[in-house]
Amino acid sequence: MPVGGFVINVDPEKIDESIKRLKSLSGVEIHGLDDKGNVVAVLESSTSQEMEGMVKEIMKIETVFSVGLTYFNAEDEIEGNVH
Amino acid sequence: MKGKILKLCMLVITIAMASACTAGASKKATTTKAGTHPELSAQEKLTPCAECHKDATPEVYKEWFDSVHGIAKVKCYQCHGTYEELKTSPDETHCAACHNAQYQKRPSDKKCWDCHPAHRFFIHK
Amino acid sequence: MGLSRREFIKRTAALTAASYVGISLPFSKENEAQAADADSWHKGTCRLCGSGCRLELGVKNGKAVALRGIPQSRTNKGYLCMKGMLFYKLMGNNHPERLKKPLYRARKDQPFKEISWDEALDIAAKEFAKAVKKYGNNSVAYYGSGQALTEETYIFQKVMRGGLRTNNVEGNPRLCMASAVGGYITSFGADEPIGSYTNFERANCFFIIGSNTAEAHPVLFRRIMRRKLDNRDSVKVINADPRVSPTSRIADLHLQFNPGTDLALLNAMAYVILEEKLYDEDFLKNYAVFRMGKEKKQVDFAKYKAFVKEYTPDKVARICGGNITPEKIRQAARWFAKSEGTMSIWTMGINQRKRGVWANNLIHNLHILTGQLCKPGADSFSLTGQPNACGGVREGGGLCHILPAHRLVKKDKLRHEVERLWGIPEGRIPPKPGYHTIAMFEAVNQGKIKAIWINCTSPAQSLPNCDKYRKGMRREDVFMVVTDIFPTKTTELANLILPTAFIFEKTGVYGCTERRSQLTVKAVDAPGEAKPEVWIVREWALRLAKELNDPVIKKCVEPFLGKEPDYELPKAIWDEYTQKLTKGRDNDLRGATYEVLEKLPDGVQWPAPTKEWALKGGTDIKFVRGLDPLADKHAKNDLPYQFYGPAHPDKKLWIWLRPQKGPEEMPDSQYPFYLSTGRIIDHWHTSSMTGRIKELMRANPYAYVEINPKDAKKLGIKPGDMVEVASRRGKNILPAKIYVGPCEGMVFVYWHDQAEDRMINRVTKDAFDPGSKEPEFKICACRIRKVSGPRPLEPFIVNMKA
Repeated sequence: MPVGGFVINVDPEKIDESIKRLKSLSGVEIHGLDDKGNVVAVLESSTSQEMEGMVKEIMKIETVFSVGLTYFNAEDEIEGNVH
Repeated sequence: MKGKILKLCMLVITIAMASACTAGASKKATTTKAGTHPELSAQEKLTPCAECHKDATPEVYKEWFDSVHGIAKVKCYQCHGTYEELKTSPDETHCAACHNAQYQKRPSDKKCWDCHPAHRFFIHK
Repeated sequence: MGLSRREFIKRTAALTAASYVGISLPFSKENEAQAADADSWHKGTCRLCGSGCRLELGVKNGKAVALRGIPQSRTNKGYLCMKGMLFYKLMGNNHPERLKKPLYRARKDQPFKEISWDEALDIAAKEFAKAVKKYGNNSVAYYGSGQALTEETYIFQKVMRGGLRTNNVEGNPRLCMASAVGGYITSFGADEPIGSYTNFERANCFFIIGSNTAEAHPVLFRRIMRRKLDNRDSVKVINADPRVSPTSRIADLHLQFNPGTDLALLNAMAYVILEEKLYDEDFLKNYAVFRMGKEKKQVDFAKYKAFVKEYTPDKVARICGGNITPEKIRQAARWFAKSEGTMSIWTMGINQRKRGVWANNLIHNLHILTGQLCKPGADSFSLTGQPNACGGVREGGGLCHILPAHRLVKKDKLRHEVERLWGIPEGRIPPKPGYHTIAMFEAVNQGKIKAIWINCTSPAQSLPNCDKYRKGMRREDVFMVVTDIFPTKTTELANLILPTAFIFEKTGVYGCTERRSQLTVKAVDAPGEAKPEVWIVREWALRLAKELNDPVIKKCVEPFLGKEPDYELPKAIWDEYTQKLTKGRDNDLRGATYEVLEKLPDGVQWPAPTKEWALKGGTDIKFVRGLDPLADKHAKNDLPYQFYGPAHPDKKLWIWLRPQKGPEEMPDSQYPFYLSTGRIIDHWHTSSMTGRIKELMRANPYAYVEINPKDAKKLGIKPGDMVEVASRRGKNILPAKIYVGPCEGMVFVYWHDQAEDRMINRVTKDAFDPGSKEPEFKICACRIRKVSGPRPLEPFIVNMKA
């Protein structure tokens, strides 16, 4: 069950609208934001591929400028793969 | 002069160093800036750490060589420093040069290598 | 703690994200320790290869104290190699050997003496003006660097071309990636890779040929290694190289061929792809044509098939020698063609060849044949050796035949466009390209060039057959200005040495391998009187204008007058270059303003015509509709890929019929060994920087000659023995490393060492590719013999005897 910490850059003029859209997606938790349009979000999914899909969904929101991964944990996916 | 050994053969010095290292702790361990590492001549300081430690500490060398650090060529001195400021247990800020995000979120009561065993660097113990 | 493991992970995820943007979360009181004891951290780019690793410089009381990776950077994801960790030791007053004052001597046999900047700039202007007046505009030259900032290369070439009316503008990228440029232009119609580093995580087959990625690009290699180790069975790695290197450790298949047989090997892979029908018929039909010869004559598929028929795996295995078998060639071709996403990676092993452009074409051929392009993980990707060879020199107009933004000098329309954009009279830039690198130093030898400015590079050590060219540089009738941060083998031959600011001591942009431009803003002061190059060029140009009584020279720097040199000046230059010169070009960078670049953890990949697009990071994959704004703009049909590159009027990819061609110099009875050269991980280029960092110097204090154990046995050479490596041009005496690295019949020497006895470019050959003019560093003939047993050696770095 991968967990990712993200900084999502949204249009500072449209923060409220952006947050509403982000909250409507399942698996997305908003933990903080500032007035420059930085949104701290945690994404949870069942596979990394699914997380990639979620990021793509977020990128589709017009008021989102960028989605930056800052932390990623997929220990149960990785274990067994590393020697 | 210690350098004499080197003049004979690079290979011999490697072996000589190996015994110096293992025997050194009891015999000629001098308290240098480098802690308990045997003293090195100017020439010997120009030998890559792994060159000696291949024989001096073969288990550690092999663990490192087969680890992701060994494959990606992250070398001894990047964590332990070089002779004068050698640290047996690295300063964790050296880990942070590459693993800053992980360093920032580590549990404060643990060292990096409590979860990622030294020289093997599994993702988690 | 009352937290489940999952809660804990989520919490750290949120905390980590918050720490990057400085947001306080309700539970963020703990774990706030900083990585090192610094007052502030400043974003920038690593200086010591072409990967473009992003890092932060820790500054305490105005002094550089540490470097650490930026985890959100799309190039290095937070990782650094040892060079990237340590180069803060060269900044500011951290290093006692930094050049701090202008140094001058009228004659090269005199000692240098310190002079003021006023005097230094006057002398530089007078000498260049004197040469122009007496011997004409082409008697002066600029030789620059893939390490100069884009702003620096741009302003230098502007003053040389628009001001001094000469295209004698060259740089060391000629020595490292000119063949890659030639390959991209002739195969794809546009310079620079189609894809990005993101393909490292998407590729299922890596074809690494002529690149020791593990040592030359360690942080990129980490991504490839990770991909392989996390998918041991499904991801295949093929390593093709005459030398087994640390890169080979992750390979499933190592193809060890004799030096110079690579073109045959690549054609044999094409043979298998055709014979076993592994090609992508639709892709070929939609996007490719076949061409041959100097006239670029178009031929049909049948003709290409007939051409490739000559390269049967049986026959080519015999040509290649080494460990090559027909079955290995077939296996490589099958993995290449069938994998979901194949990424080829190469550097100097392919580029530094007599037929480097052809070798590049033949790699591209395999990708075009199999449709391994534009899809996730499918890429034909040349890695670049220097931090700004792509951004500054390839894009900024830093070679004798190109103007900024991928314009050819010889195209009247494009040349006049540049003159118009610069506001200088039409016809000011001469229509004929200047001297390419080898020709330039040949002209120095012949005394045709009377004044040369060498910036941020050391040709006295880095040119092949360097003794030949050092003779010219020693001439008393050749006035030589060298701008650098440390003494080098080249400053030894200068009349005037100008001390410059290092990275993080000035502001500017580097453009790395993957079309990505990244900004480094000044964070510490340069030592002594060292100055940013942009200031030096501006002030020099103003004096030149006076000396030559030519207002157009002043016009070239007019937009930059009065700007403060640490930020405003480079910004004004960047703005002119991006907003005016790249507008409408394939490397459109108008969106990548300083303001945008400062916002991002890394930078922007062109094409990036708008700020909105740039803020998203720019274009990950070129030519794909929906991913590349220019692909949509230039679309001529409904196909998903649009190869709009400016060099191919038919907007097609070109598959080339290129025959096997050996090196210029083959081993013979007198010189029976192949000599090849390359890098090691701890040092970079001529080691003028890495050799001055104690940890790095100790890890590799001097160059070795690597000899295959079988050859060593035959010649009675033991580890550490001193061995003479001699060619028709010169010789070295180096300690031996007996190592199953180079194949039998080949020796390999590291090229960073500055000691005269161990400077391998005194031995290499200066033959060059007739297309790209890139020299064949990688192959020449030599002989070796033991001269003595092991000797204690000293590391050596040039010292300034002021």
